[in-house]
Amino acid sequence: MIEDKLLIWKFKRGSSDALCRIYQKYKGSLLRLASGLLNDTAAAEDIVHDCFVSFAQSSQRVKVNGNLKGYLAASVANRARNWNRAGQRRATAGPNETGQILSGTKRPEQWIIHTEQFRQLNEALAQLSYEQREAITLHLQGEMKFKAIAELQGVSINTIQSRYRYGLDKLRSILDSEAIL
Amino acid sequence: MRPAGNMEKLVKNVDIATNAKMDEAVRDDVLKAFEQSKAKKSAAAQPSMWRMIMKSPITKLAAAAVIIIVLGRVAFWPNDGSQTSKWWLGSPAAWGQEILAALDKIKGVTCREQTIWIAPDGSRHTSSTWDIYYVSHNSYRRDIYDGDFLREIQWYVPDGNGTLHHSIRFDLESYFIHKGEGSFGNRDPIERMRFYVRLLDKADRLLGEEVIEERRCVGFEISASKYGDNPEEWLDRIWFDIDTKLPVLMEHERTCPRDKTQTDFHPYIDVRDRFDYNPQLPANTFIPWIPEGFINAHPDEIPKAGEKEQKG
Repeated sequence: MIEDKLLIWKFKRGSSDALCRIYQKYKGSLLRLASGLLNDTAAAEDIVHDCFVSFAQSSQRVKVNGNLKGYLAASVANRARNWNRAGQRRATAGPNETGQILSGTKRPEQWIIHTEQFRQLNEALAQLSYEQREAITLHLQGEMKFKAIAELQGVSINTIQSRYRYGLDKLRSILDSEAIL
Repeated sequence: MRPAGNMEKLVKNVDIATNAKMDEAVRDDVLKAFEQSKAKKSAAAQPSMWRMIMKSPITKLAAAAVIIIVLGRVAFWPNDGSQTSKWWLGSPAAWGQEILAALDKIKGVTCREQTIWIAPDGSRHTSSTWDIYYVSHNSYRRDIYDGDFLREIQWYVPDGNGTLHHSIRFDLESYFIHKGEGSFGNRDPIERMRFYVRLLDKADRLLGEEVIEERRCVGFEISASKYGDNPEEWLDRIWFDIDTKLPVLMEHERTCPRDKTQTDFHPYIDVRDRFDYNPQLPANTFIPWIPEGFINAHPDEIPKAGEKEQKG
């Protein structure tokens, strides 16, 4: 926590080293979070890429009140939600209108290397409602408090806690039925 | 049934691995965005000159004095300044001399010459043969290309009171030397430039400003009838670099035959461009040479010469 505060302080004063450290420290957990929210590797990679680029561009105006990880996780969650909304529009659009929604950057290789455990967990998460998935991943992977998630989703803490609890039960049931993990 | 705590642990700590190459690529993107954002910010943070001046009473006073001097000068010489940037609008007698003086200073120049044929439907195509000229104060060399193939080199070098004409033909594997009188004549691009500059006070049309070869230029057009017994339709155009006053492009448009009864005439434009007034030419550029094994013969006599050599 103290390290993060120091990193933010240096980052806001133009330190590339601080930015690199933030990137190294959180890229993994943000990729895990984005994958859990979207169950689409390419989209998750694009979102995390764009999230870091946007963060780098906003060094002067960035205001991290809580923890840095939570701030970045909220940024990923917002982008993921936008991507899902765009996905709903894509689903109703014609084949020629389904242009690339996210970053235009073409990457020749995949960023995330899937393990079997990672793939199975994401497939199980994909079976939950988006709200339940968001409550679980933001709390467990984004290390956000229920209160912050509630503010992000615009609902009460009780609702978030319910979504979290029911979501976790469902996830357990799905994974138990597969009995692999 | 797994306990809830185990499930939380699993979600929290699920393994994720990343491709190191992609890690670096994304990190580079992020750093690039960061540096660009910093550069933008620092540019935006530059205080304006006006604000800096207005901060101090001394600089404020100095600025006021400068404004008074400039305004006073404009009031007394209203045509000074703005007109000087458009020198071609002034008297050709004045700037023509300046251009001639600039041409006299040229130690060497290279340029390209090619012909553009105009078809009856107005479409244009560029001839496959084109030349590169190398000109120094007393020597001249012309490289003639056919597409990408260097077909011929011609040298015109001083020799006593006259000029030695030396040419080699790579396509015929021959060379030919003869002596001529005077210098290299009307093909000298610099002499041709001087010729047009002297005529510019008779120009028919000012072509205005245009960017040619990334240089701001001003162009003039003159009918060839102004300087000889030529058809009025023959037009010459010359474009000068506004800054250096040196020619950038010369065009000779011939849309009709000299003899109007001629029926097999094909309209064309001769174009000279890509002028380099400061070429870094090798020392041997103007020294004629003969490739090994080439026969000495006029190009028209090559078959005969070939036979002679075989007999010999």
